[in-house]
Amino acid sequence: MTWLRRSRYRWLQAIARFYVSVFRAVPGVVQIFLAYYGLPEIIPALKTWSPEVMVILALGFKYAAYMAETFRAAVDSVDAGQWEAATSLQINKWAFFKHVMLPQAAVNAIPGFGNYTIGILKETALAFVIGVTELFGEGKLIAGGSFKYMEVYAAVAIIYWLLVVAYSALQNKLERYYRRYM
Amino acid sequence: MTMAVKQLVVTVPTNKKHVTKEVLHEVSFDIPTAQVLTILGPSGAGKSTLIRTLNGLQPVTTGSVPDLAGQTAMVFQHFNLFANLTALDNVASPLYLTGQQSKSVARERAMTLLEKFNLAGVATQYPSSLSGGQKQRIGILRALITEAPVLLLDEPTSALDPESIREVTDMITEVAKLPNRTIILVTHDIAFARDISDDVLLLADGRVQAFERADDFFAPEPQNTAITAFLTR
Repeated sequence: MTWLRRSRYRWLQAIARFYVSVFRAVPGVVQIFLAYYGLPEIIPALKTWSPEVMVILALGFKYAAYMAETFRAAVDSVDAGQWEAATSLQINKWAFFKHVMLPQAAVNAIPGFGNYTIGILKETALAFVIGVTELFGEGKLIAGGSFKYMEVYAAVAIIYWLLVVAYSALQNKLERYYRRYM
Repeated sequence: MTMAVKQLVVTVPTNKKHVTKEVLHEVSFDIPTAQVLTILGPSGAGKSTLIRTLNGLQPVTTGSVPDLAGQTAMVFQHFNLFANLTALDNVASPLYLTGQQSKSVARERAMTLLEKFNLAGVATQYPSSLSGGQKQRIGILRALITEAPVLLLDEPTSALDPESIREVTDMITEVAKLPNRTIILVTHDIAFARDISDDVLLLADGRVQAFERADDFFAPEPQNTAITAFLTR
């Protein structure tokens, strides 16, 4: 999606802009309902797909729209002069992208990418609306059976928090690694 | 032996949509090989556009430039070092990122160059921690390691403080002594141009005003009034 946004062809840019506009505007829960209940009406083969897969697809498409913007900004932030230098030294596009542009763009993309990853993690709780028993769903079932709402939901909240703390620690380590040359 | 630039016209886009501006107007001259050619001229004369065109970074509108594909290496005013690579890897990069050499061999050759030019001490540093002079010297070595027969230097000292200018001009002077190396230098530094040049091309408003041997160009009383006007401005 990032490359479509940065394409030299305006029609490809327009497709990407439309995609980003739609998927960023529609709430996650609506996208999950559309994917699980709506799409199989148009594509009957999807009826056999599990709700877990449909949630992954719905959230994947949604966050691809957000992350496309983050990665586009990160790639654009790499000084164009370096590409000129690479061209003048006969370094090809792929080698430049892999060894020079990507490591630098990664530094700028990591914070935004991290926020959206945390967003996805939390939005998995929405999967419960189409019957997927994920962390929150499991908690709801246990709480309903035991009537220990405070204990169960507090435990669910703590697990989400610990997952985010663990991910944030990983992200910080990654950021420190990539920022060593800044 | 010379390489000819013939009737070169280069237009560049402007801020206005579909409006272009002609920066070089029918520029013709011969590039002498294994010599130092300096391009002088006031700001906006088209000097950088000319050198970028020779390097293939700027397309030719009409006319022709010698086909220098794979034969040039360029040094930029703002260094354009690869920010995520150490000084050593910046110098080695033209060899290993093009697949000409393995990374270890490229690094060995880069280290030899760094040692030769007293820069081994900064080998492991990233560009962000180097001084302007060190950055530009690394930029020159990165171009030098390619062994390209034509070295293009686009205002290599313009972004530097006086002390760094000396470091860089000393290095370019040393590089100019290497055999079979054609150097095309764009600069505003008249004194440096006088010291290093074999030939001088004077541009103004995208046109060639003078193309002389350096001794004639910097003679006390040049024959060409454009030279006098430029040197006494």
